Amino acid sequence: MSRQTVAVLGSLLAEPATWQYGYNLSRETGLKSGTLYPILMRLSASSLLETRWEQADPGRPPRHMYRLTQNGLRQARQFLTEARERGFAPRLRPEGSRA
Amino acid sequence: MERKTICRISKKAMRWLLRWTPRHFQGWGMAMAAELEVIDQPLESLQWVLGCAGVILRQAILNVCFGACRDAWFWITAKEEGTGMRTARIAAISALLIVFGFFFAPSFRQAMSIAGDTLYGVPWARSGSGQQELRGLRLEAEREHDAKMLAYVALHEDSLEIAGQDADKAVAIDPQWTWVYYVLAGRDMGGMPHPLNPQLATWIAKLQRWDPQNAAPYLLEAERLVHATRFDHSAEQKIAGNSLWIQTMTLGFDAPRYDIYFQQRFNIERYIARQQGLGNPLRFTLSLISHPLPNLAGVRQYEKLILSGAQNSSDLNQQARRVALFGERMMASDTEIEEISGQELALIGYRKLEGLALPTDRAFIAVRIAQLEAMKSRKIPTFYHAPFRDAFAANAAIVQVCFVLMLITALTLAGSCAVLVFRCSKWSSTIKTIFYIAVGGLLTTSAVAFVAYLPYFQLVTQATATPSSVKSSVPLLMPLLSFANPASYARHGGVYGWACVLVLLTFLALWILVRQFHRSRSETPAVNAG
Repeated sequence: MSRQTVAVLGSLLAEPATWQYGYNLSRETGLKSGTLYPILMRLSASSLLETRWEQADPGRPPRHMYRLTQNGLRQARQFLTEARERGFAPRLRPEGSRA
Repeated sequence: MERKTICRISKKAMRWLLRWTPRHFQGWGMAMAAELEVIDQPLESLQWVLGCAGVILRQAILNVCFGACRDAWFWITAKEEGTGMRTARIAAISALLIVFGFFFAPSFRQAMSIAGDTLYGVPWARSGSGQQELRGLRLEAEREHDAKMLAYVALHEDSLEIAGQDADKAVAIDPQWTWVYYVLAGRDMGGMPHPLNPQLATWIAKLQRWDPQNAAPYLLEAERLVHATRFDHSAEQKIAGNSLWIQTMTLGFDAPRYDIYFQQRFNIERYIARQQGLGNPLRFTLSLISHPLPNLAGVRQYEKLILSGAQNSSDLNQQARRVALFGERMMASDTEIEEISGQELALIGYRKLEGLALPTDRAFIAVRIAQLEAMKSRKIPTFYHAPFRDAFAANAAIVQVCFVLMLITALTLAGSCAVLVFRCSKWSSTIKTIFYIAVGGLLTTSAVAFVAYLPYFQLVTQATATPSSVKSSVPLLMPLLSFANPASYARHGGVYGWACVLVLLTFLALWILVRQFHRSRSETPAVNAG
């Protein structure tokens, strides 16, 4: 599990019930879109992440939202514990930086 | 204003990128694009688009190049059927990749090309490249005014009429290619007597005008004059009475040079082979050894005629000197046959001169006779030397056997894969066994063919090296004729026997291996259950 993946899992785990946007995750983790989306794709492919499209306002494209599945939550907690033990816990940006 | 413009450009770029997004990835592409709507910082929006471009590009490449490989990889590494089957699959795919890797080796490609070419017999056709390819080369050469390529096309064209036209075009651009007429004329006069090409006399005349100091064009013309009587039993008498033939042969015997343009032929063949890629050195060799020789029987007839017709010792002295000198010039030529014929002629001439020459010349003549006799009796270790020839013949047989086995195993593989497709991914254990045996067979035969062809490849590389002369190169290429002469290795039935034994043993070993995999698979659930 890479540091970047751990960071994304940490960000998603912070508010597990909330659906999060890609741009918000990018700002929280400090990851660029080119790094963030492959991670989201892998997590989604391994059923750790669920996705849905938001109801869009007229004239704006619908945004994609993400949150951890039950399995994802369990695995994420495990990964984060292991990561902390190995000394690379995710450093998230402060809450106030959210869009 | 500027800020909005940059954001607008970013969105446009994103929309453009979405057009290149693979179908399965379009959802993710739209997700990335939608986020751009909420980014109002120009730099951030540009960075977002750049990141997305990287992801989309990677996906597009994966989609095009590795999509099939990825699916195959999931199939190979699937654990549903147990670790044993998974290992067998990985081993089989690795073996196939190794076989695929062999095709990157030029030596292996050469081996396959030659073995395939000789599957139905000897490819004696003049065209080193196919006639279709030759037409393409002709069009390109005419467009580019490439005399060398036109000369090459003329040398390989099956139809003499068209070949003559190609030669005319090449010579019109650059007269140094006039020697091509020698090859065309020699080709026309080869074989049994037949109506000669109407252009033949013109070609020889052009050759004589271009190279008047050379004996070869005169010998060709002499042959043309008596072509119809070549296989006639009373030919000698007819020839003896043909003053025009005698006159032409006299010009040939007295010409200061003897050159059948073999080096020029070798240079052009090698140049084009290098340019086009020397895929099939056997055809290259066959093309070289089909280079025409002058009528050596005619030369001997003329020698007999002039020596027997000498009226006095002074005349005999003069004629014997002409024969000896012509023999010396012929000896220096580039082919082994001319070398041997030249030795014979020179020896005849010197022996006649021995008793007639001036005392001052006699010592030289005696030494020269001794040298020529020594050369004649010396065994030259050429390809025709039995141990050399037999060793190569065995290797050729191995390569050809392996080629046939590779075809069989490849077809078996294709068949087992077809079963997989038709049965919707459900393989019976028999089909699996056949698949793995075919993979093992393919790998074994490829490796054996690769190793067996290596000596040929080294010889070909050496023969086509830049500073090589035709005299040193052609003997190196001669072992390739093992592929073209099945009769020579018919005696080596052992090769076929050992090949069969080897293949059977391999198949047996693979079968045992596959059985082991099956056994371990069937044992695994029992252990788990216990």
